[in-house]
Amino acid sequence: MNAERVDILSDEAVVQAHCDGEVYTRNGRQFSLTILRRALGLVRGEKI
Amino acid sequence: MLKKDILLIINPNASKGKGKSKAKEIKALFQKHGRACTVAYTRNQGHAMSLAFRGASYGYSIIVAAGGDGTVNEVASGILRSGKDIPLGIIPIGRGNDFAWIAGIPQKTEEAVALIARGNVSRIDVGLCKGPDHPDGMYFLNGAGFGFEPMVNFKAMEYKRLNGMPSYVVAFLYILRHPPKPYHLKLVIDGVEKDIESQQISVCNGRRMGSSFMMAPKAEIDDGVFDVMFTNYPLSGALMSPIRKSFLT
Repeated sequence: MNAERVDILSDEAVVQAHCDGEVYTRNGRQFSLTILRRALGLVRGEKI
Repeated sequence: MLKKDILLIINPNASKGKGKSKAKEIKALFQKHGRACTVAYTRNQGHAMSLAFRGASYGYSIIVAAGGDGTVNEVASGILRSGKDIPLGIIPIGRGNDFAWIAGIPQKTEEAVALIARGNVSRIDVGLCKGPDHPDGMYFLNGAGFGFEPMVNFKAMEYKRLNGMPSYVVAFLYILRHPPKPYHLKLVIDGVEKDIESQQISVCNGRRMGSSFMMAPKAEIDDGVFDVMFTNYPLSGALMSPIRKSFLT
């Protein structure tokens, strides 16, 4: 598969999209993604 | 004043329109486990988030989302916005239930209720996506993406008579014939810029999207990192082959 796997180790990665067509995201054409580590308690089952 | 125990947030139209009867079933199951359950029905998009926000503020011990990934995201958002450290429970009765799957939540309602009643809580990572429409951000548990994958998701949601994997298979085949235009993307990851032409990017906390796509096979929801998957343009037949393979795995 012609794809890459990247782990985001910093707290914020910025993704910018520039195009004339519609971007299929509910969050607009430019957005930032932040990981909040262990931010939520979850009643979970066995690890898959 | 009675102690607040479990708040169940459910869409009355979930489970193919049987949300209300499902809620009664779930409430009775919790009672069998000696847990008091209050039911709150959602009315529209965003309502699950406000219900969860209020529930967390009122001091419920667990807030349960009964639905698919959308409902789960909204309820998680409400809890997180409240600033209260209230655990989330999930009863998967939605279309894809991808996050519930990676979280090890049983698909059978009785088993999911039993799991919540036991209440073994662990902490997981959460994503926050900020953009022009949502300057305060939207939380996500399983993943965020644009291009091919969300197009399949949106298309699948249009099929009212199909649920789960069949709806995604049909949507996948449709979008395969009507793929998105390539986007020029600048990714800045750990300070390193990367310019790509892509029709697909998925930022994954969980492994699976769209009920069957194993987008990030090595992802863990508590490892402190996202797995970012993107394809280089064009999304050719050769490229689609492994996607089809993962879809059918």
